[in-house]
Amino acid sequence: MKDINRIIEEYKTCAILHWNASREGDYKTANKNYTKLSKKYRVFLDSEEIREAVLPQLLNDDSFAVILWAAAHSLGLGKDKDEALLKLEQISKMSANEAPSFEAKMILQVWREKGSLTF
Amino acid sequence: MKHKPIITKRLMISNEEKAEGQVSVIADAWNALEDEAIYIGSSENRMQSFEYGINSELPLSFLKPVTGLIETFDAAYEGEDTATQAIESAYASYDQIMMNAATFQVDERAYNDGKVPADIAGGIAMGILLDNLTSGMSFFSASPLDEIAESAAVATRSEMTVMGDVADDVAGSVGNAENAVEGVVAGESTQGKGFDSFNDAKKFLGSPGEGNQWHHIVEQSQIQRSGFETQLIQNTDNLIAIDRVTHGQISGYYSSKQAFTEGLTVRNWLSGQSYEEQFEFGIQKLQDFGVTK
Repeated sequence: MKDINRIIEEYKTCAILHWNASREGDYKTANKNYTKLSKKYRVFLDSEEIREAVLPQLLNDDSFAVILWAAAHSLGLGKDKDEALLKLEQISKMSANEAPSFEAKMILQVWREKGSLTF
Repeated sequence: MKHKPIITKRLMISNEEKAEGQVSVIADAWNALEDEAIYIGSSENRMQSFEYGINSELPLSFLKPVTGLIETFDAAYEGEDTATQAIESAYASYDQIMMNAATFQVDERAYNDGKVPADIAGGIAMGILLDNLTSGMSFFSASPLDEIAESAAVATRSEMTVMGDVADDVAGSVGNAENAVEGVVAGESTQGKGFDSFNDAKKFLGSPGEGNQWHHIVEQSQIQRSGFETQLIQNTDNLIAIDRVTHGQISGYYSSKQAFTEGLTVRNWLSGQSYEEQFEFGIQKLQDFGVTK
């Protein structure tokens, strides 16, 4: 349980830092957190137990940046696809100031074109 | 004067340095150059600007290989296992390496030893720069590249732009006010006039306005990366005046990796997509950054 909570907190921090850095054009910070999020994705790939415990919580986080990443990773894993798509649709309709709406649109676009997402 | 190459520089970047972003600093500097600053020997236009240097028979190493280097740096930044070797190999293929003074600020002692590119930190005069170019003092480095990369980290986009402006003066190509097109500002465009170089486009367009810079909606690097015609990129329909800070932020965004870019930077992910797709992407990012509505 302790590990699960740690993973959730780290994931949230990375997702928020990634979005904030992207908005500032600070690609170094963005990419550093991208790498960390990709590592988390690989943990999810390896452990059904962890992804089942973590992703549903992240999909319902208060931060749209966290939801975006959790939804993208869910799609990549083929887990909770309907909920993930719904969340991304909602984010894509928001303003760029309050949520990563453009990124949500692009995730949906890539997902619909290719049927998969890679990280 | 017949100039003999001073050194063959080898680039050694450890995995730790890669992880710390040293390579990305260099890649970013080159990408920034592509956007707005000067090229020395990397485009015909800039070669003309520096014919003084060319006439001296100085070797201009980055004539063509600059594209390959950017790709190599990008590859390193992508974390490819062979990146370090690839960069070493890329550098080893040259008899000498010419660094761009506008890109790299350097340590004064090294500069005085003639080992590193000209220092523009203190606002070096163009005459001095040309003197150094023709004497071979500048642009040939014997110092480890990570030292230069460290220096590059403090080079700012504004300094590069200043150098670009100075180079324009030298080439006698100050923006022609008569050709300046009013109204090429956020959201508006002219009738899509294309040019053979960014410099020509800037001459036609004139000043972007105080505190602004000309921004390519589809990046200049896509001429090489995606094979687009120069006139399509250096086109009034593809250029927009935006403030310097936002310009830097958008360029930074293109160097970032996003959830939809499949492990690539935005710039690399866009490569190979159609001009229309990249243009639409660029317009949407301008909207995101509050430049257009």
